[in-house]
Amino acid sequence: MWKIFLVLAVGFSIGFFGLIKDKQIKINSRLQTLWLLLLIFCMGVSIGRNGEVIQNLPALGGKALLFAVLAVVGSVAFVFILSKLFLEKEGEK
Amino acid sequence: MSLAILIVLALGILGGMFMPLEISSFLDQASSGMLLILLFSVGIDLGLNRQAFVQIRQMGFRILLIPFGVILGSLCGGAIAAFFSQTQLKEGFAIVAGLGWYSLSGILITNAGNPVGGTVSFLSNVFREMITFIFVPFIVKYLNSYCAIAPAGATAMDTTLGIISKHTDGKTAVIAFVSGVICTLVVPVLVPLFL
Repeated sequence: MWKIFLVLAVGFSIGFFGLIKDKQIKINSRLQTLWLLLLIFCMGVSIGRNGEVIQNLPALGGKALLFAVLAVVGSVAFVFILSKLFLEKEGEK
Repeated sequence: MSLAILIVLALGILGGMFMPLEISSFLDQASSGMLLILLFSVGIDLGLNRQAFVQIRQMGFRILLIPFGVILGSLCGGAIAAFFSQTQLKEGFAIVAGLGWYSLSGILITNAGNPVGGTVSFLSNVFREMITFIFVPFIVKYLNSYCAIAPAGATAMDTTLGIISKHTDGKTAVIAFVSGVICTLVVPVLVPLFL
């Protein structure tokens, strides 16, 4: 867990204190997509080599969708209420 | 991006099923290192956006209402989903605590010794990003632009920022980015709370 905070902090410092050139920033954002896709591939492999998970995938997919939909509905509902109470009135003034 | 993600994920799963065990075992272990490289890269991007910190100061504490609503709303949705799917409440919270950051939430839960929960969390947060891409225009039309930030969660600072700014305005896009940054900072703390 501490490794995650460490690499984030080191990366953040490099960006924040301008230790990186414009060209490298572009390269970094392109590499980011590559790292992301490689990571997702590795995660896919982890799922694929786990027989238990593969057997349960049809059931897990439905469950995942249920959690995604309800998390989205909950988020939208809470932000809607909070924005009606505290944000929209200010905007109208 | 969502489509590319689903294709690569499917390829990885098929690869994992049929490739020799030595290779799949190596790739399995490599994923933790891959995450660290990705986070280093993301960290640089975070640090580059100094303007976001100026914006937080200008809007005051009320900007926090958006990520606050996103987090509380997600957890409530997770609790209801846990009830309907007969999942343990704690696991339900951990699944939605990813706030759309699928790569991190899936790995954290899998590494904690729950590969099934990790897979559900990963898929659930991928679905969350896809739902965001599809429904942002409708949410802006029928509710308000603040609500368009809500489904994005942590992805509001990168992948879904484009679609939010396209359908709202500059101010909302900045709030979305700030909300995404705050959610992103919260996820690594929030998910382990429920493990």
